[in-house]
Amino acid sequence: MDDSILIEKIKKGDMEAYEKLVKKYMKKAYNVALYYTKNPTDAWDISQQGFINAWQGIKKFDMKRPFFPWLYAIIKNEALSSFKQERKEDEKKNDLPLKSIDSPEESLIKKEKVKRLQEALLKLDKEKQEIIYLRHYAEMSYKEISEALDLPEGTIMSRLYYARKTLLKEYMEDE
Amino acid sequence: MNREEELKNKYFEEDLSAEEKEELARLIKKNKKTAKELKDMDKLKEVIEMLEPVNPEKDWEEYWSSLYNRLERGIGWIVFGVGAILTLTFLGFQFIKEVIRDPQIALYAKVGLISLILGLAILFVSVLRERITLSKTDKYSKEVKR
Repeated sequence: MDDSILIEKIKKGDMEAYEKLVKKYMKKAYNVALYYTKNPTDAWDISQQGFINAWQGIKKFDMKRPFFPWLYAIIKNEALSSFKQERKEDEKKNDLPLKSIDSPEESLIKKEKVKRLQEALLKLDKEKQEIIYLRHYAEMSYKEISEALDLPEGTIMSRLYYARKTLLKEYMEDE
Repeated sequence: MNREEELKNKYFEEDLSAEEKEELARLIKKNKKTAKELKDMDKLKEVIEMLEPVNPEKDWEEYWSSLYNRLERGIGWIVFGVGAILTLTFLGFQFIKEVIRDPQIALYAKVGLISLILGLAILFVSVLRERITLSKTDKYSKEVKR
């Protein structure tokens, strides 16, 4: 179902429509929260708080704009203003939340590649890390990133290209 | 971002049209460095794809039930708060009325009680006004901090 239809229903208090919307964006919301909190428990909590704030503020939502960038802003603000995030900022600096590959069937080579990628990502500045994370882990489209960061799509494409180019350089350096 | 970079970006995103594929092939023929770069991009793409986003959907039931409970409790507290304010206001009003009408209570005690209640009312209105002002300033419509 289209987001605008769901949101119209939510504005009238339809809990079923809200549940559908939460289900649709849960994965993205969780991954955005995970990027900013660097902690699965906090990501769970912050993404839920994001959905609650969205419910409470849904009447203010501009129907002309896509939903997820709005939710992204809520989650990012929630994460940045949360006490937990501030407290752990220093200890999290060097830890990007990437899904670990630790099942027995996965090879050591794969693990090594993942480790190298993680190390390469950590060498990038925050802006480049963020855009790569939003595109590849939060699976946001160019349009959504453009809305979320309030930048033209062309700028997003360009930033992403240079971020990946730098990442590639760092990644290949260790090969 | 020049045309070659745009094509390479589209290559990474697997978003090349048939014409663009031909255009990129021509560039590769001309420049061996481009071919090497695309091969390296394939390696990067391969490893990025290994790292699928964390999927919390397997815990959907728990996620939704916890979210719903938080939401429900939030609404519950609001309703409870409104009810408590109305009830306390009514009871307070009745109490003051009784105290003022009672000739056995000294005047200074009556003035003290009224001041106490008036002070509490001012504090409550002040906090309420602050909250209303804050809620009107929608922090989510502003650009987020980077």
